[in-house]
Amino acid sequence: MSRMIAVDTTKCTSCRMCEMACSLATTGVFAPTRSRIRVHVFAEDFKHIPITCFQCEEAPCAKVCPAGALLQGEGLVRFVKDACIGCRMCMLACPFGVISFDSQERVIAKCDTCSGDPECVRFCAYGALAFLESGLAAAPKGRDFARRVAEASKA
Amino acid sequence: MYGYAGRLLRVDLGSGKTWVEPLDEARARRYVGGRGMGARILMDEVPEGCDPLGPQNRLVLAMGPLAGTYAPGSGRYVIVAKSPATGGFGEAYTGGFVAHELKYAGYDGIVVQGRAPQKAYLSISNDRVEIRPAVHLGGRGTLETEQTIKEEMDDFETRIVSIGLAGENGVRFACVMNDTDRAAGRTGLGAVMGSKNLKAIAIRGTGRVELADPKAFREHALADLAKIRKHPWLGDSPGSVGALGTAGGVEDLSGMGILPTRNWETGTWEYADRISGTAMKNTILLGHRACQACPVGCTRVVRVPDGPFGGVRPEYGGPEYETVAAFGSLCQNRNLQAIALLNQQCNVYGLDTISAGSAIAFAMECFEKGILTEKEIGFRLDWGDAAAMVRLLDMIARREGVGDLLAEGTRRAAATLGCGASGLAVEVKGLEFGMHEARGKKGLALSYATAPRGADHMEGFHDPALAVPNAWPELGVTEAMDRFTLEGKPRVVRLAEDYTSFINSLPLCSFMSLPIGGVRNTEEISGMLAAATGWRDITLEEEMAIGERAYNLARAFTVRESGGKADDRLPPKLSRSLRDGASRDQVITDEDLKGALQEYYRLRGWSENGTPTETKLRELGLEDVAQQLAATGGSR
Repeated sequence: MSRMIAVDTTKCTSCRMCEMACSLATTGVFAPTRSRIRVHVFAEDFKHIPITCFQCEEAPCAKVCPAGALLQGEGLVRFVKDACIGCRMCMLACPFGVISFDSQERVIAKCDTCSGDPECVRFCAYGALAFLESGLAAAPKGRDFARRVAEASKA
Repeated sequence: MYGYAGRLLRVDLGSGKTWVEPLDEARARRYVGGRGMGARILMDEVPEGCDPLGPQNRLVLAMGPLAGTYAPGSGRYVIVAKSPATGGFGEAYTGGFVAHELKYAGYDGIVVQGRAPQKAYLSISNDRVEIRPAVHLGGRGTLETEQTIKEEMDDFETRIVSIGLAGENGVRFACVMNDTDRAAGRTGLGAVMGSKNLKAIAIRGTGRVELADPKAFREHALADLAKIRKHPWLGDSPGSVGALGTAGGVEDLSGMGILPTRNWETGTWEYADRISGTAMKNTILLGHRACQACPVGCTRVVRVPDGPFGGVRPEYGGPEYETVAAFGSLCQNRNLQAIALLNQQCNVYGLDTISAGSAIAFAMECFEKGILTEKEIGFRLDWGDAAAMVRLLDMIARREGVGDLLAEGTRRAAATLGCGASGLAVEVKGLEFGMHEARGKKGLALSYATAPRGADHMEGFHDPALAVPNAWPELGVTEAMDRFTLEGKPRVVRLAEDYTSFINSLPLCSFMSLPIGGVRNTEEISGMLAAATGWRDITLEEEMAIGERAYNLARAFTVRESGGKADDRLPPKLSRSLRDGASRDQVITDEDLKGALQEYYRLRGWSENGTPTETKLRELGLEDVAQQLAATGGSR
């Protein structure tokens, strides 16, 4: 049993509350460039895509880490800050670009779901982010789509 | 200095010098930021009688201690300068992402003076500040300008403040754009930027904002968020501004007889439902987006791919209420796709949609009455002719033909035209009315008449919010009041203006901080301010004083620049009744206004001709302003 940060891109408005909430919770200051979640905007297509670490079950970052700073668990890739040597190999290995380098702390920065109580989710006013049981995370999206089917087939 | 970056960026475009000026903390607490800071700089540095389009005018971009944080509605900054539209205090607020970016770059504001020898843009990347050539950007629209500069900065996350053709051409209601679809709309500040040969300001900031007490700040912000989310107009409900946009209430306004229609001849319109937020949702709307740190998301995003009014792209957002009314009912144009295109063209050219729509409606009435002819315009300009509106808007931005006359704003255009055209211009001090019918909102009429920047719909309160008792018990506004009466309103107008002026000095989005009819979150806002700055003992009383100080500064600037006369009047149309609808027969005569003004001046501690008195200014710690006014003869 594990939970994940589920993203519904159709609900994101790019207010960037998540970035600010993350940076304050993880660094003590407002500094979105140090946030573990980033919102990517494609204005020409009206798309707002929040991306963060979704905690791979076979995480390339954990596999490549030579210092034992990234530990593969069930539903969470844990980061041990004190072990990090700042080599940035995990940034290279991560296919999603969700690991960044914190130039203040001189170690990498990666989402740890705020130890199971993610601050970004708390501050998302639009329901674009939710912290859900992994096995059930797809359900709301499915239901939203089903609602459209229901509305389209209304008499 | 917690909450603040502690620095202002100074730019002299004439000499090409840029430097950083530290912020003084004691001064910061008296003026906070935004309006207070901007008005102070204007009063200190803009010489009396200065040409608003001359190099001595200052262009100030100002934020405050909440910019850069997740305080709901904090994604906001103000631009302040002497206005080319009114000749008095000019300011315009805008949302988007610039306020946060500039704060992360390490500045609480920018003060620009002088005039660049040729078109230039200011590039700010944290501590690296450069003035770069922008000759190649001359005449370019907002999106094209932004894309080119982002490429030159080699950073797609750069935020850009810019002007379009209208600002370059000195249109007196040119606005300043940012983030493609956000406008610092009012008082013609785009023309000020244009007069400085400043095409754009590009900003990239990767720094941080540090708070005095992050834990307490978080608690207050969460409490504020919860209140906002629960509020029927701001939260999740199907009729909220998030769902329908600010134009969601168009039908209701028409029902109440206060939807500005046919250049303010009537307040009700049978086609209101064709241009409303609901109509938009059912036709051209793609969805909504938000400014930074906003839980509401009133911004519309629309698309009109083709057809006679096609080519409307999502990057340019979509029309909000003011735009819908100005290009819709005010001109009796029921084509929503045309409104979307006119909105986009305003964003491309950098035109204030309120004054642009007002200028077109004014021209339509001039055409109807034979004051402007088909020959002079080049085509017929009948009510509701959307294609003609699109043509005329182009001519205004380019200053071509009759567009050159209208680009001066309705007051100046009417004076040039003569033949009774002044009776058709609906403005105060040279600023066209916001799209709110003052005959059906009498308290607002008082704000329109007295506000430092002219007919200003953002200063006071909107009377329907007082229909219920206990609108603002914290400050003794307990009594319900009829929207058609002026009685008892001056006191409430004054209170609302002072609080709004405090909010504008933070600044926060007015939707999330309305004192009357809003969320009622004064405590949460105080809490966030205290936790951000460390001013633990700040009270509502001090906030009201901060607001009053800023308001009096802005007022004093307007009074000083108009030679000591307040020019507090309403346009002639308001003394005639509306043709039909639920606010029919309502008028505001000079006599009505005179009584309200006397009471209002007295409550404000202003002289009988509306000038802040020496006593009042001293009380607010503005002795130097009293001296300035005495020198102009204003404080007598």
